[in-house]
Amino acid sequence: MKSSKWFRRLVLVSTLAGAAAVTVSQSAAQENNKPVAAEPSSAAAQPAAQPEGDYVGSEVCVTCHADQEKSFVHTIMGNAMAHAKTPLEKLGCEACHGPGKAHVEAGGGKDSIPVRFTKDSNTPVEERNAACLSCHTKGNQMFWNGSPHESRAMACVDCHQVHYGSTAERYAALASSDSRYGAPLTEHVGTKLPQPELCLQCHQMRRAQLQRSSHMPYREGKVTCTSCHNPHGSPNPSQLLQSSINENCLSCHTERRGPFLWEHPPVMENCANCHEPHGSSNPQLLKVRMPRVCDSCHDASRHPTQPQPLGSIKNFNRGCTNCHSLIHGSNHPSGNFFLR
Amino acid sequence: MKTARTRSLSLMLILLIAPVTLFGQDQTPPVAGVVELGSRWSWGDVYGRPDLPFDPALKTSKYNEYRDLRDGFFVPRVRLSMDDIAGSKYFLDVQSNNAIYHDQSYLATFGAWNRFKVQFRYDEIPHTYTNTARTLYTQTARGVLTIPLLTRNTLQGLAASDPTLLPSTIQTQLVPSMNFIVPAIERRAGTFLFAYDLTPDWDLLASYSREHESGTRPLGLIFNSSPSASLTGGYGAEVPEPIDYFNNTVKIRAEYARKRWVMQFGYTGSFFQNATKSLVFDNPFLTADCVAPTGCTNATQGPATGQVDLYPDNQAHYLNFAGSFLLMKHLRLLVSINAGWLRQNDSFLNYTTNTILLAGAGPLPSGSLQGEKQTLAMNYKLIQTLGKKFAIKAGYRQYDYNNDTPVRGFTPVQGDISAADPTSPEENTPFGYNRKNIEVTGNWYYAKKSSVKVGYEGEIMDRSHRDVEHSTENGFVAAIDSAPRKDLSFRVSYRYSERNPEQYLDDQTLEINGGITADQIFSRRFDESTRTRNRGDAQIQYSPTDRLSFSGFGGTMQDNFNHRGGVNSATPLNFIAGTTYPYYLYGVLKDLSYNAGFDSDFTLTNAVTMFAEYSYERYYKAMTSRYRAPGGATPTPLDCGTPGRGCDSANNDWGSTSREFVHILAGGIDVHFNKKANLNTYYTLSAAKGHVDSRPFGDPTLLTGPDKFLLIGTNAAVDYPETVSRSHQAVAIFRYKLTKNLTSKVEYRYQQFDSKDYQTSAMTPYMGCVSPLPPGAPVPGCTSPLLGTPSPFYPYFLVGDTSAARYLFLGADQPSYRAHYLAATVEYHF
Repeated sequence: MKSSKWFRRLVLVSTLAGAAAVTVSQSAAQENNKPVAAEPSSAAAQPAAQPEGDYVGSEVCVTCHADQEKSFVHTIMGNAMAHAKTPLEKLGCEACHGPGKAHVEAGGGKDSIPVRFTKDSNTPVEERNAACLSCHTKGNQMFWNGSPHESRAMACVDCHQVHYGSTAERYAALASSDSRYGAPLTEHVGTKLPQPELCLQCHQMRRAQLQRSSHMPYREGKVTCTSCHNPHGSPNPSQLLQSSINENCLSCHTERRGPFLWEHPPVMENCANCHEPHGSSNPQLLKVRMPRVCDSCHDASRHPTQPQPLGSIKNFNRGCTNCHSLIHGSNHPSGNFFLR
Repeated sequence: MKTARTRSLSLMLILLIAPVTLFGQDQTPPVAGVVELGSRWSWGDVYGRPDLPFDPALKTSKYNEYRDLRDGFFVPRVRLSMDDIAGSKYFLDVQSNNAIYHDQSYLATFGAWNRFKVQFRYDEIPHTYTNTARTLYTQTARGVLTIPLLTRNTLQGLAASDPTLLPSTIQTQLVPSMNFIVPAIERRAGTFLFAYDLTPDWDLLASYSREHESGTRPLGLIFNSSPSASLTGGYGAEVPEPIDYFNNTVKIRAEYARKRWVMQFGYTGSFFQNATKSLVFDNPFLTADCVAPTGCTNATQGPATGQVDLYPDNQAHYLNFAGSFLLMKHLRLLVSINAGWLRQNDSFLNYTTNTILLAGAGPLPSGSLQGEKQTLAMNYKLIQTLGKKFAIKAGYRQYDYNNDTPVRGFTPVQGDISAADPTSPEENTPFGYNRKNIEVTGNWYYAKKSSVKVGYEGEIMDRSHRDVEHSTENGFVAAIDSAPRKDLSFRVSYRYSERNPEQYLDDQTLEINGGITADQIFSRRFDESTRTRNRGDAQIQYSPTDRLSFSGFGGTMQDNFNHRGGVNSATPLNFIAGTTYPYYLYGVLKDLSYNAGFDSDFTLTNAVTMFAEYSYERYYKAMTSRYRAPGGATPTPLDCGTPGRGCDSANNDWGSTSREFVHILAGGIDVHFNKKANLNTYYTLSAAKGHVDSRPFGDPTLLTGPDKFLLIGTNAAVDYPETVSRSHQAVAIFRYKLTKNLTSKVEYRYQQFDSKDYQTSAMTPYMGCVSPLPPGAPVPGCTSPLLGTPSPFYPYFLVGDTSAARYLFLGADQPSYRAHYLAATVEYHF
């Protein structure tokens, strides 16, 4: 834990990473000069490489699939592809569904479509996801490979819908002001359900916890699942956005970050030692109400060891924090008992 | 004000809808969106506190905890989206929720497809804490809370002359004249974001957000070192803490992606500023500093004002690197390195506000903390796929929380009533830790959507300045996912882990105070002590037809800390030998939770759909403790039967269990009468009951001798009353499509919140006036009717503490309510 030690480690790793980046970047620059065909970047499962001649172009697809075009062209992806920047995007329908020559030559038929995403699709999940990951490699999706959802063979289209018609139709179908749960405003309308309903379909225990009397403003739509978690995978525990539980909590509750002169170690180590962030029946999202939450650890001399009668000041109102109100840390020179 | 608001809103709506008229005739409309507006009313009552001499308002009750549901005109949502402005590659998306009220949100995004995006977000989040608070304090300057001198003089006189008159005077003269306040805060945050796709490979992102959090919230404070705001010493007050925080956050991120790898570099800077650095508050019971025996007695000494250091300014800087590299065809490496620097250097306050003690307090060792912490989070994960059937993952994670805050010696003045002890300075202990996690798992994908997973998980934890410096945890995990049919899938998972501290160095067990150790021997803190954890979960999803889907779940997590030997006691600690429930430590023994439930959706006909949900949760936590009391001048030999001796006997061990039962129920039906009309109704119930029970473990018949049983009277281990939290909601929403684009909506909601919480359901601004239940003798000056009407939920007792006779509370509670909500809106889709 010596700072010099970890700093040396950081410098070493950064240098190695930097060197690797430069090396790979140079080779990438060379690659850049080559003509680029459709290149799914996912290593997990790439669709079989196809010669360019197997692509027929979107114009051919829409001659039969006009409805699909209509349900796609005004979506976010539809708009992005209308202003394509990469060769892959320029492929239009075939960027996701694979080359269509065999399908055309077969005179149609589901089985001849290389990649299908519908419920009755026989395309393996990895191949379906690979089609998405061929573009969505950066940002939130960077850690999809190896993530819990990927490991459980979840398909992107289990949560996302690509052909959703137009933005207007989506508004009509998605969140309305009378939903059971509110959600923060978002520009993304491509999920099958709005949050948190989408996540709660599988995470049913969380649905129950969100109903508790002591809760963050989830139901009111001020925070939602992705305020803290990245469902596409993250290197952090519980797919958190930040590096630790505390960093996650402290990204909003910055005043409790410290450093403080007098610190309460379990607070600095893990907020979840005392609090249940998804909802609780106890005040302040506490796992156990006061004074027992404090008694769990404090078996020192004087008052913590007393069972405390019902009407004790250590029991009613704010319990122990009637007095020890600076329990998250104090910067007062006389605050070593977190009293001020 | 209202006219201006209406005018600006009208202008906004015109601006939003105008493009529709311009472009609305196109076959594929370039402008899309929705505007919903209407009027709403809510009414009801707050019925949980008939003992109060006033009716708490519904609009400031828990009903409105995070909302601003005022009556009248409202705009639930507006959204306007232009995919290609005037046929260009530019787009615009503007949205709002709850415009013009204090829970409003706005999001505006402008950009060019596949090129750049500029976004502005504004959000307000209210948080109301209570609507039953009353106080004598008013803020006369930033961070200064005062009470009229006349009031303080009266209380001071009584405290000095006849403290037994305090309760009646406070109840009859002070409480009725207190100011009503609504402690509440509001967060207002604006974020500006710019994202630019420099090339197909390069993405850049920068954002800046500023948040202002302002208002007040309850804060308990005392003018003493321990909660002895009693008739014989000490003072306390709960005050409305002024909140005036600013958060500034800067984020910069660059990403570069190629066919086989992606890298991301980022910086995040977070700057917290508290405009109110400290809070100075009058002592209600004392107008001049005094330390016994000069001019006052032990019972009446104290400072005239108290001072608390509010959260200091701080800043954090994080540098982030992340990458995903396909090293070989089937081998991927994921890396994430995040280094953080945390700083805090606010000036220290004086040791005390008591001018008599300040001179002897000695100089501060430095003017400020110069607090420094570094964090380093590193994650490495290798994923090897072996064909399409197998995948092996190996991960290493390290989180180093390195505290470089200087260690200095301080001479705290405890409670502003006794001088500091310069001979034994207190040193701050910059706590740090280093957590390393190792994970190796293998997945076998034996069929579509079906897999078996087994793996090992290990943790090595090193801490500084804590009881356990080194511990290891080893565990394994197994899971089966199976989808035997397209319409059926289930998952079963199990996880087991065992944590073992190398040594439990509770140095406070070496400190002897009044003949007993400062910490109980074999007291073990649950977050670092020996633990075995068993966790099992099961889930099933079944959709036999497109019309019916069903899913069920169940799970349990069981933490057991009560292990024999190791860092715990090798023999039972029970006083009574041969007990059927031996314990080997003090602290948490068991922490168990269970849950189960189901949800189901059923489409009866194309016009009728239904849903039902139910879940049950049960929590159980057991702990054990020992009532101990330090002795007087000659504390040893320890003898619980002799006054003045230290008392530390296993016969005064006691245990407590916390149990909680939660039922969540929901059901609803959605009916489409024809293409135009729709009725959506549902009901939800969340019902939780909690019990905190305690019992002695010793022999209550031993009433003499060194092991004398002391858990009687005010030291008795008693059960607390049941707590209940129940929330009902019944909703009916009727929609009628007036035209293709225009829909009218009438929404009715009934909400009922029942709260029975012995800790707050009887809270008043003065809780020191409590008499025991009949036939116990009333506390002098504390007899009915001064107490008012007892809490309806707990008629047989009144919460309060004679040791809090000189503590003024806010009386903060969140009472039960019944609320009706009716809204009529029109929705215009375009």
